[in-house]
Amino acid sequence: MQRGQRALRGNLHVIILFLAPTLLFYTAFLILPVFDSLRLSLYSGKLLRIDRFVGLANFHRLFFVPPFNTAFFNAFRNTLELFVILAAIQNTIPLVFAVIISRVRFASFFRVVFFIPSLVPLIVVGFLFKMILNPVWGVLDKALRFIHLGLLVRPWLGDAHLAIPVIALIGGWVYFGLPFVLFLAGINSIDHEMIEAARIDGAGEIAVTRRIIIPLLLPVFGIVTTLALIGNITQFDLIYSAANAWGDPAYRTDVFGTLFYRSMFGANNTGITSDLGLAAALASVMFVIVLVGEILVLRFTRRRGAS
Amino acid sequence: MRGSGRIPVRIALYTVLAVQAFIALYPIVLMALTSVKTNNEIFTHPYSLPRTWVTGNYATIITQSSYLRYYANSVIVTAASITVILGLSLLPSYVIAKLKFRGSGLLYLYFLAGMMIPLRLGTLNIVRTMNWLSLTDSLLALIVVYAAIGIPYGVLIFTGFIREIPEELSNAARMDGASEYGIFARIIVPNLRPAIAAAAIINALPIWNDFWFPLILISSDAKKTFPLATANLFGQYQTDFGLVFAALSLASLPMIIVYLLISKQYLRGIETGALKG
Repeated sequence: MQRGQRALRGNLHVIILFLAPTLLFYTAFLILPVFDSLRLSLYSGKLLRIDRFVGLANFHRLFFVPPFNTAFFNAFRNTLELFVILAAIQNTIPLVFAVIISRVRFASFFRVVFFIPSLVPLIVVGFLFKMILNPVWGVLDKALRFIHLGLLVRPWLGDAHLAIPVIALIGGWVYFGLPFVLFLAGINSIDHEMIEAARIDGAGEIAVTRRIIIPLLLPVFGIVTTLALIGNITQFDLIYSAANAWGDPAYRTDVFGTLFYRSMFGANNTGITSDLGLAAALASVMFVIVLVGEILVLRFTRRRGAS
Repeated sequence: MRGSGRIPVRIALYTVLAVQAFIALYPIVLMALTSVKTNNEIFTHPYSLPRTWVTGNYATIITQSSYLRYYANSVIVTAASITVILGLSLLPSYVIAKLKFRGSGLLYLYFLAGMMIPLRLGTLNIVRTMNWLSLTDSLLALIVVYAAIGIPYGVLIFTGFIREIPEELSNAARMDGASEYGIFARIIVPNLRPAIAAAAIINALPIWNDFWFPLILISSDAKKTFPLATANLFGQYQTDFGLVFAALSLASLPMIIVYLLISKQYLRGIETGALKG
């Protein structure tokens, strides 16, 4: 502390000069906008005009008053479903490929290839798969019929039960690269002597993977799940491009992101008008969910014993 | 360990990898090939290589819309945002990493908190603030937003790297009478090249591809970035598949080409960021 105090006094102007601009900028344009949504949720008004203080009325509408509560719980269920499926995909398939890649030749070639889908803008991904999966002229159904699997043909994005899983699969396709690179980096940072020692003790590949690699990768599962959570709580681009701003078919893919968008700007055809309080209340709920989710993920994936 | 295992196992592994590579690439290849086919051929031969390669779809988009303008806007916004991110994150990182003072740990966490909170949740206030600052419908509004989002990653990477720069270097300079500013400019920054590359790379892609904030903040055609323009073109061309696929390709292929040229550095940057995180 002594040394610290001296450093502080000597460098006070440096500290202030180096810190102040970023601190102000970051607080004004990131921290405040998010936290001030909590305050806005207590008012009524339109996007650019606050009318009056209404207490918790917006939350009351969101949770108890139709049509707002139907829209809210529908979006909640869809967002949760999308997150669960996508997180399950991202924590398994990229991991399997990372394990494989860490043991073969030409690894760098596959690494480069596997990252390519994540370069495509989400909005393009949604449009592209909307074309590919189209029931009338999409190439997937054509291909299925060609190989005599016409039985499997479905209105992929138009089916109430399939739409979310299909969008989650599309998400798994585009978001493959980062989880894969993270898992691979995690695997490569594992001490090889430990694995060799286990192998000498007679452990097979599966035992090595299960007993050594997976537990050591726990923090990576944590990062991947957290990223999926943050990405999904405000997911918009993919739904907007593959299923419109109201989540076709018939709101079955309406998520928090799309509902939030409509409550901010209004969407005449869906009976929602620009509603500042409702949008802010929804943002507050999303904020709480993302925080609670992050804390839970952190608790479950913290490496035992360490730190 | 590389290349170990019995031959059937190895064949199985490479088959699985090849299938995944096909899944990763096929939709993109299909998109690119469809964009250079005639509409007639798109229906009759959806999978084959084009019999006649047509570039008319691209020509139509570039002449009928201000595509080059959208592209220029995206380049300006991405480059400017990254410059601001690098500058604004380097300064506090140095102070946090090297000048020990009470509250520096807390400050570090405060900066990192931005990674855990999506700014989209503050969209209402972003719109209101930009309106108040008369920045709505300007590229500057986007630059400000992306800079704010990027600062946490910048601080995370730079703080990690600056901590690893040996104290002796700065101390020696201090003995020679260098000021803290001098140390920062002549010792810290030159040692941070890999970190600067990593911070730039990690931030570039999400900014380049972002659709949400342009959709919210930009209204005039001349200020659109290409993801927003792509959504409009898609709606406009919907029934003309050649044009649709050309628009989608125009929005994706340039980044893929850049990536293929610098994939080694790119993936190293991503890994660097990931390992520090």
